[in-house]
Amino acid sequence: MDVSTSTSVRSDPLRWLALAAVGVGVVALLVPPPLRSALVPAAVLVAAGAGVARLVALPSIIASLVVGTACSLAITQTVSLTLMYLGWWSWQATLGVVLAVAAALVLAPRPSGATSWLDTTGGDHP
Amino acid sequence: MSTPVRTAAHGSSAAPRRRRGPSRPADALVVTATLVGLVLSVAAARATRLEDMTDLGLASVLPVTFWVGTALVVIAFSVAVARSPVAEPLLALPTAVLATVTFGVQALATTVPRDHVAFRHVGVVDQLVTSGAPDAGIDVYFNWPAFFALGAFVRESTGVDLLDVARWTPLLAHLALLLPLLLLMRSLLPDRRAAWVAVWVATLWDWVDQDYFSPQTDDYGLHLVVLALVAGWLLTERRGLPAEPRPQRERVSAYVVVLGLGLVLVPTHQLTPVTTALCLVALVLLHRLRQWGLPLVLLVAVGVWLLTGARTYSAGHDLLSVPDLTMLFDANVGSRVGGGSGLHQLVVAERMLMSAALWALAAVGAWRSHRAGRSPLVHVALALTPFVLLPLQAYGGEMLLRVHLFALPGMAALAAWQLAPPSAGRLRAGLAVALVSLLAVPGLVVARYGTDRLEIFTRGEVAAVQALYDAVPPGGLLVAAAPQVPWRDHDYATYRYTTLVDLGSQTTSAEDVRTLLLDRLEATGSGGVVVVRTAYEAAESTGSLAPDELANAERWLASDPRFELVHGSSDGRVYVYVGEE
Repeated sequence: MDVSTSTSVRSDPLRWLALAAVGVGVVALLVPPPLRSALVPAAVLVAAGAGVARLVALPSIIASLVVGTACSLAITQTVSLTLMYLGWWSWQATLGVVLAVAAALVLAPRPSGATSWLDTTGGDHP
Repeated sequence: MSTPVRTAAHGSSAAPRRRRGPSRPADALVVTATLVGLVLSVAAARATRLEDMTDLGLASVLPVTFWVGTALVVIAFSVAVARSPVAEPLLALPTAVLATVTFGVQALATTVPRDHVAFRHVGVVDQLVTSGAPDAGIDVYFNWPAFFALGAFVRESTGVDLLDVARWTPLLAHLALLLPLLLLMRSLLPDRRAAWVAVWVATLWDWVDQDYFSPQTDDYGLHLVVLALVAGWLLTERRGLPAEPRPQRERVSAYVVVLGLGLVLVPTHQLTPVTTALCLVALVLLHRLRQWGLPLVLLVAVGVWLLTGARTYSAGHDLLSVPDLTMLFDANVGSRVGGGSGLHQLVVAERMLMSAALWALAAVGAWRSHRAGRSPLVHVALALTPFVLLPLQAYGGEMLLRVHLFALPGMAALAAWQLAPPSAGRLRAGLAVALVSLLAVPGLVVARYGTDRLEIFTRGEVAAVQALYDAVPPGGLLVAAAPQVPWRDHDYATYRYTTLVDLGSQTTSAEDVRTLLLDRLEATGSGGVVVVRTAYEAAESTGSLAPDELANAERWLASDPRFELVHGSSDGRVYVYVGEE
C-alpha cells in the first residue's frame, strides 16, 4: 500500500496523530527533564494508543479511547519487561522500541471494510 | 440549497431545546452542586488533622464539610439520574467528582503515600532499575515483574519520584477505571441511565483498597477492558437479550485485543489472569461466548509462565496441594473478625455489611431483570465466578477481598437493575440512588480508610526510617517493630529486613524475641531497630503486639548498652546495634 498517497488527515486522522506522537517521542529521546517528563508519557500514550485504535477501528469513541490507552500501556510494559529479560534494558531502548512498534502500526494499512466512529456519525453504539 | 438545510437543522435543534427547557434549572443544579461539593470536600480533606484519628480511621477526623460536600455530589448525581432525556455529561461529572473526593482524600490530606506496601513496590522498581533485570530469587514480586518493568521505564524516562506517583495512584486509578466500566455496563444494561448508575455503584463499593501503586491495580484495569470488549463485541447476548453478531471485522479486532491484553495480564499478577480466564470459561459454559479458545489460551499462558518466568516461585510452593477449608475460612474471615480494638471490630463488621448489602441488592436486581424478560445470566456469571477462587487459596487472608473486587462489576450491574430499571420512573430511580448513596458514601469511607491509623505515615516516620538506613551499612539487618512501616522504597535487596512481629511468631515469650533479635544482629554484624508511631497504632488496633510488650521492648532497647539511640522524635526512634562493649 502506498502510504504517502493513500490517506489524508481527513480520511485517517489517527494515523497522522500517531505519526506526530512518534515524532514527539523521538524529540523526547534527545531532550533533558523536565521537558522530557511531559513528552515521554504523551508520546507513548498517543503514538501507541492512536496506532492501535486506527487498526482496531471500533465504532465507538469510548471503546477506541479504552483500547488505545490499555494497549499503549500493555505494549510499553511488555517491551520494558522483554528488554529486561534480554539484558538490554534502558529507558531509551524501551522508548525506542515502543516508538518503532507505533511506527509499524502507523505504516500498516487499515484493513478494508474498517469502520470507526471517525468514518461514520461520530456517535457511539447505543 | 443551503437555506432549507439550515432551516431543518434549526428546526430539529429547536425541538429538543424545548424538551430540554424544563430541565435547565435542574441541569444548573447538577453542575453547581457537583462543583460546590468538590470544593467543600477538597478543602475539608486538606484541613483534616490526621493526628487525631481513632480506630475508625479517616472518617473520625474528616470535617463535617467533607460529608456536606459528598452529599451534594450524591444529590447532583441523583438529580441527573432523574433527568429526562438522559444527559451523559451530567451523569459523568458527579461520578468523576465522587471518585476524586473519595479516592483522592488521602493524597489531599497528607504528602506521604498511604500504605506501607506501596513503599515496597517503589523499592521493587528501584531494584529493577539498579540490576537491569528481574532476579526471581529475591521474592515473589520478581516472578511477576511486568508492572514493575513499566514503573522502571516511567521513573527513568520522566525522572518523576515514584513515591509522588504512589501518593496519587488511587485517585488516578479510579478515574482511569470509569471508562472501561462504562463500556462494560453499556453492554450489560438496557439504557444509558442504568449504565451510569452501575458505574456509580461500582465506584461507591470499591472499598477493598486494591488501587494503590501495585500490579493488581494495573491488572484489574486490563481485566475490565477485556470484560468490556468481550461483553460488547463477542457475546451472543447484549443487555440481557440475544444480539446480532457484530460485523466480522469488529469481532476479529476485539478478539485480537482481548487475546493480547489477556497475555499481558499473565506476567503482571498471579491472581488476575486466572480470574479473567474463569469468567470467560463461565461465559463459554453458559453458551454466551463461542470463542472458547480465549480462556484456553489464557490458562495455558498462566501455566507456561509458572514454568518459566515464575519457576522460582513454583519450585518453592506446592501449587497442586488441596487446601484446608477450615484454614481458608480462618485466614479470610476468622482472623479478620477476631482481635483488635472495639472500633477496629466495628470497621471489620461494617466492611462485611457493605459487601452483603451490595450482594443482596444484586440478588434482587437479578430477579427483577429476569421478571422483565431480560436474562441476567451474563451479569450473574461475572458476579459469582470470582467466588470460585475462595476455596483455591487463602492468598494471605486477602482472597475474600479480591473476590469482592472481581465480583464488583457484575454485582454493580445487577444492583443497577434494581436501582434504575427501565420500567421504573426516572424520579423513583433518582430517589433510590440518592437514598442508597447517602448511606453508602460514609460506608465507603469507613470501610476503605478504617485502618488508616496503620497506613498513613508522617514525614517524621519517613525521616526515622531514613535515619535507620543512614546509620546501618549495606548488608545489615533492619528491624521494625511491626510490618506497617514506610521502608524498602530503596535498597530493596541490599539490606536484610525483619520485624519484631515476625520474630515473635517464631518464639513464645518476649525474652525469646530479644534473644532471637540479638542472635540475628550478631550473625549479621550490623543492624538497627526502628520503632515508628504506627507500630504502637498497629499493636493497639490489630492486637498483633501487646502495647505493653512493645513499650517494654523499646525500654529494653533504650537501656541495653548494645544499642545506641541515633534518632529520636515522637514519630520514631532508631536504635543501632553497636555490639558488646
